[in-house]
Amino acid sequence: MVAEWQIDEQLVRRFQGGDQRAFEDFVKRHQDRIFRLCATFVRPEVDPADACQEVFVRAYTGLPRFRFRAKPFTWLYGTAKNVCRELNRKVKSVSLGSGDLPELAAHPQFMETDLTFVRRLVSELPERQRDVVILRIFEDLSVAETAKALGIRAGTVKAHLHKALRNLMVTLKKLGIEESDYD
Amino acid sequence: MTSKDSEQFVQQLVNLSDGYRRTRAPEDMLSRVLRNVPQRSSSGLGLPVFAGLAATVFAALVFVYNQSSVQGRSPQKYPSFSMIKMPSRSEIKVPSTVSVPISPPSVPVLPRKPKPVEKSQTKKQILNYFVDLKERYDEINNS
Repeated sequence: MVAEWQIDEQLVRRFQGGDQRAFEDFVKRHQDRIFRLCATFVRPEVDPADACQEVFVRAYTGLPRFRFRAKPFTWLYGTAKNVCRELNRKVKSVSLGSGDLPELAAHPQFMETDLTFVRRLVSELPERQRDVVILRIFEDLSVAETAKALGIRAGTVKAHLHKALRNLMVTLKKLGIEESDYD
Repeated sequence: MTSKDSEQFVQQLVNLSDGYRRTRAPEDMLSRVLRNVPQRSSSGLGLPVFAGLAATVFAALVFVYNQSSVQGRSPQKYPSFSMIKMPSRSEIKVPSTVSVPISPPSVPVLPRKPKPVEKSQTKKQILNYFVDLKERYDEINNS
């Protein structure tokens, strides 16, 4: 069975060989995940679809020079974070919560409470813990897949996850969500 | 936090984030991306292929030029190094005494200075000019 990252590498190699269709397949494979990441990271004034589009435009220009030192999704994930950071910087009018993440208000485009909830949670976490929680818990990647996506060891993923869970409990208490509310 | 608590907590988070995972990118995301990417040649190889072709053509031209110039040369006109006969050591005659002609020291010729313009004459010209100008001015005012 071919692993997810191996399919990505094959697509990128085909694209580097001039196969336009491979790039389209690559976009289709990752567009939902990258869109959700962008929706989590951008401020409410920024359209996550614009951010997502910019990520793939950069992929189009960057992947021909990709050297496979990391997994293609790791590279894409890093690009998504950079793009969101740049777009957030452009709309400085709104004050920030912690780091460069948006305040607790829900994104106007997504009234789903779950997305707001995710945004609330990750805004309180340090960057690496945030990455692990998003990929491992919210994107439902395995520990090994998360490790490969972030370019770190599986043990490091577990350690970050453990710390993140402790911090999340504290955050949930701050937000006024008690254990009884989970069920 | 025990591992069981942790597992339960993660499961609760996963349940709460179901909606997050259901969030999808807009339908037209691919077409949006393709509309905004820079144009690329159909082969996808673009510059490297062009550079390779250019290098090959250049090398071929240099080769053809070299060949034609070698063929066009007459051996008498451009003898090769092997055809030039170098004199042997015994054939080279060195005169026993070397006479160096001594010429009398030449007197250095200094460049002529340009003739200085007489200052008084220049001043006079400038003065005349202004006098003339004043006269004209007065004439215009009086009229």
